Amino acid sequence: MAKTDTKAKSLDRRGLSDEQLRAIFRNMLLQRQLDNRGFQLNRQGKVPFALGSEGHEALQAGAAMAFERGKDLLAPYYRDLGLALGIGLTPYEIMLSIFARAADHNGGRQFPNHYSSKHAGLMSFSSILAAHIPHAVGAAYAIKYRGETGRAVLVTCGDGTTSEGEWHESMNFAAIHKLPLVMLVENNEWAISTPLNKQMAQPEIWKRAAGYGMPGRRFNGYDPIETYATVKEALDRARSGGGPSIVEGMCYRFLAHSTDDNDMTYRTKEVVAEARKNDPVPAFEHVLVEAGVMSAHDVEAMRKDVLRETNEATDRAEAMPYPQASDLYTHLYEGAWQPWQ
Amino acid sequence: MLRKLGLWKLHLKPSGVRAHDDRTGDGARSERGERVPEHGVHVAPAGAHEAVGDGRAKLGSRKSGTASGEGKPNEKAPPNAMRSAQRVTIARWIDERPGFFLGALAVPPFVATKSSKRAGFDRHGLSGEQLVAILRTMLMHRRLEGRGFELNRQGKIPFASAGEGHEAVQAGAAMAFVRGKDILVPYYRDLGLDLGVGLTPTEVLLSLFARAHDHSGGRQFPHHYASKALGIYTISSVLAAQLPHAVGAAYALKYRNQTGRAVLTTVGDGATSEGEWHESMNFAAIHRLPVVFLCENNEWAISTPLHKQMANPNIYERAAGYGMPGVVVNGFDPIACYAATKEAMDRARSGGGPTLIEAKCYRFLAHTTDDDDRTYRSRDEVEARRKDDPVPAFERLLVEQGVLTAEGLESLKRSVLAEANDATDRAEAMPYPSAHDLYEHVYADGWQPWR
Repeated sequence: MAKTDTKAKSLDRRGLSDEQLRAIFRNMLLQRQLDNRGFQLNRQGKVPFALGSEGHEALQAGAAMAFERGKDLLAPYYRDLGLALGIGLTPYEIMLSIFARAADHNGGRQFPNHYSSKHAGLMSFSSILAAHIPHAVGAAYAIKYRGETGRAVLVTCGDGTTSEGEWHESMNFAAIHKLPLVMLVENNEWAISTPLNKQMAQPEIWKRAAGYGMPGRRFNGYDPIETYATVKEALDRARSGGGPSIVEGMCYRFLAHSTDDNDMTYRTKEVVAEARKNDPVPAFEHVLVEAGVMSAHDVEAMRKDVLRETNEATDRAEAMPYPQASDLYTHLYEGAWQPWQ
Repeated sequence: MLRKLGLWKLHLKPSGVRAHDDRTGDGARSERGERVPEHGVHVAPAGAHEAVGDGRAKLGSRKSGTASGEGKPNEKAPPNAMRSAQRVTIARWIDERPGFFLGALAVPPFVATKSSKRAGFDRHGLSGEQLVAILRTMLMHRRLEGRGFELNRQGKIPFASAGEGHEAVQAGAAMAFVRGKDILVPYYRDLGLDLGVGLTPTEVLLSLFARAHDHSGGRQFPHHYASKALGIYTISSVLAAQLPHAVGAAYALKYRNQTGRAVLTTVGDGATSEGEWHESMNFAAIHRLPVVFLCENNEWAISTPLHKQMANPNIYERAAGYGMPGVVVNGFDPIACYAATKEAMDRARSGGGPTLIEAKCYRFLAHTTDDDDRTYRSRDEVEARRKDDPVPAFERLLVEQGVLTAEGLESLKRSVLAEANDATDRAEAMPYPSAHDLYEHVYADGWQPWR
């Protein structure tokens, strides 16, 4: 494939190896497959609820590649399947969460898609918008307080969350204390049914950074390489004592907010179809094939592998037992203390 | 009464006559950035080399919106009618403001009839009467602040807060408020604003003494004034709690299509770190509400200095992030504060949406009578900032510019003292709320479900 060799030089890979580029793409494929699986299982009556992150694949896979496993901390929000996968969670762990099985990291007690993993540095979080951001800032404060350099906290939210008071308080506090924090805003233009123009008068969230006295940048969230480079720059700055940043990735939410939402009550099929033309998954596939990082054959093999892994994870998780009613009171107090009994 | 007058004089002389000299600008003022915000109608504050209160703060000449013909803020004379305006006696101005001027109707004319220095004096359309009214509000503000502290130290009232250093911003901003139309949602350090929109010293003292005739029946915290007649909202002490209320009032104005009205709401620098501040700014910007957010940045949130409150000390620069104009103004310059507030209020009244104004000032006293600021800041710092004290600076300006004679200034001060004394005596003589009234104003029609 001599032709792709010449084009390979035109791909600005921002230091990413072929292997890393393929890992990003595999994450994107897996994310989409698992997203759909959640919706399918819900419609089959097998899981009560699932969230869809279609449209966020490139942003999350790219950002996750900038995360340093074993050092950094991730404080995600509920639409961060790709970030969770990208920092090391397995599809099986995802499925345990969706199926709410006892073997899930939180014993099947959390909301679906609310992953956590102490091992992976993934903080457990609340569904309440922005509630996790003060926690992330607190974690960053702890890192600074303990003099731990080379570590940072990556915290994410959607565009709607930026209207919450906690968002403001967290940004201000992080800026005052120059905390090792990166605020990654995944701007998908919809806060459930609230469009961006009813969420804020000035649609460029990154511009608020100047008001807090920290750097702000906006990037194309459909481009995983640009995402990686932007988030990496911000994380590197945070790790080396340069303080926090706000980075805003532009994307779109292709699916409804969740399996409990019908987005056709507030936006049209045409609007979504138009946005789908920029779907980042086939676009990145095209980039990698054109650049010679993968052949069309490689892509097909990867797709099959992702499907196989998703199916296996689904079957395995589904076969696991639910939490026992007798476990209801565990993890509340240390030991077997049950003050109400 | 007379004995008491003498007593007040002894107590009050120092604060009223201090620091007439030495108006060299301090270094702190010059290091404040003066960047033009992207969406901002930028108002440059007086720089380090410009003496505070010289009235030359270069206000943006850009006129915004279409100022509605109705409701000129506290104006009785058109901008270019200074000479005729000066012939209008201050007594007439006062007569038109019932309750404003209780104790000093017999003072000589304040307004000088001529001045050769007037040429270089940018009064931003303010008449001589308005300028004198601003100064009177500032003097009364300071007088009543001092009174609150004295009464507290005498054991007569439980608490008082202090706005010394805020006189110029509040008196100037209040002059841009249209009585009977606009709504004021202040914070707890806004004595001057409340006076400026029409609250009387007696009403202020009733609040401090917590007497039954106070608008809240003596139930509110001291300095938490409210007046339905004047459009002053009752407030909570909780920082930024008043902002969603102010935004809600502005939303109601818009919802009811009441043009020509706006809400003026204020906070200190500390309250800008509260989530409610952010949520209010964002909501007001989305819906282009007729509200002006005036931030009185006095550099101290009780004991927290500005650099521990925010990484970027220019609060007005946040406005661009919300998509509204951000303005910074020298809070020691009442004319600049008036002009900035008027422009923003005019824009709000005419459908142009909200504005964030940051007035840079300083808190000369402790946070309240319950605070000892010596535990967190040095006397040297406070004394250095006192050199820019806006009250003597504005007195000097008006005399130098011939707006007021030296004799006029003296009688103005005397009348302020007399009115403050009279208000103190009147309020102190009023009864406390009765224990029988405890359950009033809780439910309508005296319903007491717990009985």
